[in-house]
Amino acid sequence: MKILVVEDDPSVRTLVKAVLEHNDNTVITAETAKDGQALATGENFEMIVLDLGLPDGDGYEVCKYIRDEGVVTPVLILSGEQETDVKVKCLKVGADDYLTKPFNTEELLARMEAIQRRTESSGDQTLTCGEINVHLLKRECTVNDNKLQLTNNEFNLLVYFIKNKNRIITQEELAEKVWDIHFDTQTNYINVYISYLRKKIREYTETDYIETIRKKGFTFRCN
Amino acid sequence: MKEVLISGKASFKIEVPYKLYETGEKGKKPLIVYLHGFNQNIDRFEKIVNPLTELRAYHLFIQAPYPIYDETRTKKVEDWGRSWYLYDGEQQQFVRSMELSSEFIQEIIDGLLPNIEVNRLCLFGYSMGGYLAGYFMLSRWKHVNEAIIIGARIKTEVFTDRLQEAKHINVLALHGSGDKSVFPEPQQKEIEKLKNEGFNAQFKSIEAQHKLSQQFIAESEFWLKENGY
Repeated sequence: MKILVVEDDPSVRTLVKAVLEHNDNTVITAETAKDGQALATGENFEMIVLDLGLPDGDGYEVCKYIRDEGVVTPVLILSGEQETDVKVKCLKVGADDYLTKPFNTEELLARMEAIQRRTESSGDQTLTCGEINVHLLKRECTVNDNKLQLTNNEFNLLVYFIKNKNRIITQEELAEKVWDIHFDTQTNYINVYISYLRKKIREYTETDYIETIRKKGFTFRCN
Repeated sequence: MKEVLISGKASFKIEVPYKLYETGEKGKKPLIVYLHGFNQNIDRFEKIVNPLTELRAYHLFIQAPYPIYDETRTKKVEDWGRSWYLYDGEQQQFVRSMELSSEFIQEIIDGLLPNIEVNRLCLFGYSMGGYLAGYFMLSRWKHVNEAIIIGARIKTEVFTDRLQEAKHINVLALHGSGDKSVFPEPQQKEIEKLKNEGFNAQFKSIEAQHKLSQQFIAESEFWLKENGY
């Protein structure tokens, strides 16, 4: 597994890194909230171990930021606080689990294994439309088994389209549901994103899934 | 003069029963977790929801942890009803208590997963168990696929920021139109909110009161079958 460890305390960071590497994982570390956020959103990890107290921010902010950016990688938060309220706060910002310091390394590995197993057992988090397959939690998309490199907005747009396949979707609806914009921006950003998405899909198929319905909107065709 | 030397908290161990059944052919199948209502227990709940246990799945019945003293003094302790959380009207306490019970449920599920082949997770919660199912579903959004919530309200306000991520969850809310214990309208509003967020959520009013009648079970079974169970 490729794991990101965001921890400012060098002794904890070194220990966690050593334990995880000893268990056949590849570990990348970050010492600050800023670096953690950049790595978590810029690279693909299978797990993120995140400390709550960081020098330039806290783990809550990091977790919230990466979730808001659409990253669904499992996040295990480490903290010295034992209170249930802290755990609730972690869950509210999108963490998967919470481990209280000090912890023993077996507990850390067991928690990570449990998180992974839960992910596997929640099974089919995929959407399929013709030759297109989307994995919701991994945020991966393939067309005829070719992986598409989509930005977060493109991914969210595609998911919304597939979930609402074969019906007309207006620009206003897309603005609201995908971008959470509730006013007319007087720009054609939606058309721009749709053209990007269309182009990326068409690279691996002859089918044009996105149909433009003049003066009405778009339909994502799935047969 | 008296002086407090030490004050603290210590954990107290209570053993709580759970039962896992398997029905149908071996192989990967859904896990349905049943959460009973206030002052019920797993034995009674199992009997009520029995038709659902015919579906090909793993069926996990968990008893709530807090015992309710039997004021009639006619029942054995194991037959007493149980409660999922401690509620005094204060919302933070409510959430804290639901989190503790959710952790407890999660721990049981985590312990079972290495031994069974699960491909979906469905929560079935009635009344107090329904409130908890709603909390569990939104706090552990990644790991839940379906939720059936009967005679309760999903407290979406606790996880407002996570609703976007949780919208892969299919939700069925069943409510008695004559329910005077938990009024149907607030739950109906919650389901509308979820629908607006993009959830596949459905509110269905049943001609019944709060009691978990067989009509609720039949509707649940029908919906689960529609969803591939």
